[in-house]
Amino acid sequence: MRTKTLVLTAAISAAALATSMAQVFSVNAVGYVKVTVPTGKLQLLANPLNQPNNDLNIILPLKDDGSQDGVTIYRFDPVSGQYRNAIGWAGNGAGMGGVWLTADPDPNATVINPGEGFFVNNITAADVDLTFVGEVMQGNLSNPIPGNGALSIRSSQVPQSSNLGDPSQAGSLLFPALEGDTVYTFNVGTQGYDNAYGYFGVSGVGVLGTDYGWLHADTPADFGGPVLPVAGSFFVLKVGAAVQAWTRTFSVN
Amino acid sequence: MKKLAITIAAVFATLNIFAQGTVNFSNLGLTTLTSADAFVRLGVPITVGTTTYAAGAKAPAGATFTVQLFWSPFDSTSPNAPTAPFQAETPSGHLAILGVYNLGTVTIAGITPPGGMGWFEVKGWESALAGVAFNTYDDAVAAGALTGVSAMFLLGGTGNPLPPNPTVPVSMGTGHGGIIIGVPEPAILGLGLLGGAAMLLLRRRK
Repeated sequence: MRTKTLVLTAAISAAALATSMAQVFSVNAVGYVKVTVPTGKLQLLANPLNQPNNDLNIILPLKDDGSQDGVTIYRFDPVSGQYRNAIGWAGNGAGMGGVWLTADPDPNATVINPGEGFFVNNITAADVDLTFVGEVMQGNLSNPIPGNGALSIRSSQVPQSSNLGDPSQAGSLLFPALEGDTVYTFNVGTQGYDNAYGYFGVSGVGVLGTDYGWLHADTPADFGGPVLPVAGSFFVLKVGAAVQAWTRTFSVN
Repeated sequence: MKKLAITIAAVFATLNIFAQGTVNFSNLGLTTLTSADAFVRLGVPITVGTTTYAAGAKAPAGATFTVQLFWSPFDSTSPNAPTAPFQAETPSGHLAILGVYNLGTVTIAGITPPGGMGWFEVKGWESALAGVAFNTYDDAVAAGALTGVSAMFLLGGTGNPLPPNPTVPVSMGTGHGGIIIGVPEPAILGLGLLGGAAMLLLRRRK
């Protein structure tokens, strides 16, 4: 009996130790990111955090009291080169919840994973706070970018603010830039696109700024490309292969 | 009824005020091995500072040359060629790197409907000659500076800058926007040919 108790105690201790070690070494980083879309404005945004199901109804519910009804999300289809059917928020009444509605028959029409961008149009009379909740994506990440001259809205898969850069620019977002790639950022203040960023040369071959880098009419001495905010996104017109992987190896440690 | 007509007219007038299209004025990446050359190249050799550029070379970066986008409306009754003169659009600017300009968004106010079609060409000129700076292509031509014009091209659509779904400024398209600056004038070519013929005649006489 005594031996049995000892073995049981040891087993529980081992399990507890294993659990505590697992907690010590857990690298999951859960958090939230809040973005404010001004009243009457369009803004290019992205989902910066991951959840098991990235349906808008889970990751981005708005107020259900009617005050945010009509806030609209536009996704862009790189294949057709057109915006998809709009997704609009409708509250069911205070305390009753709400739903993102769309005429798009695709069952994943409201699922937006980290890495894809979209427009938010705040047609309400007040600023709207969007709060994304989820986990920071880590490990070896791959974000497919449509190429062959396709246009798409993309974003970093991790909540990190930096220059778009290219694979040879340490500290940048390591975008797989090729000569002829064009990137457009949207200016919330002017409600128009900023001057485009165009990439020349081959990443890492020669001298940055002389032989390769991003060209921009407004910042001729900066070759790092646009600085993207957390939860920001951009349009990219991508040359090269039909699908290109934007790879990152990311850890919060 | 009259009120309705006035209202409709007013609405359409408003739409026209906001009609416009956007183009990304850049020849970056528009040249491929299989397409026409979209670079800015030199028709004649030039020297900038201590560097000499041969005829056919890409034009130097910096303020030596200026380029500008020109636009003419698309007329559906004459779909193969523009029916109105090309007009200059802003901004104009210099080459960012060898043979390449990247001047950002050009907004063409006259394009109807928003994001509609249009004819385009790119003109390039020597920015200054003998201490005189040229703000326009025509000034450069008048002064005998080096100039060049791209082939004209039709864009099947431009960017629509208007909400709720603003589309990005459109690219000029593969192979478009290339210029040879300083192509010898036909008259000069003719003189050269005449000189060559005269020399041949002289040699025969000998």
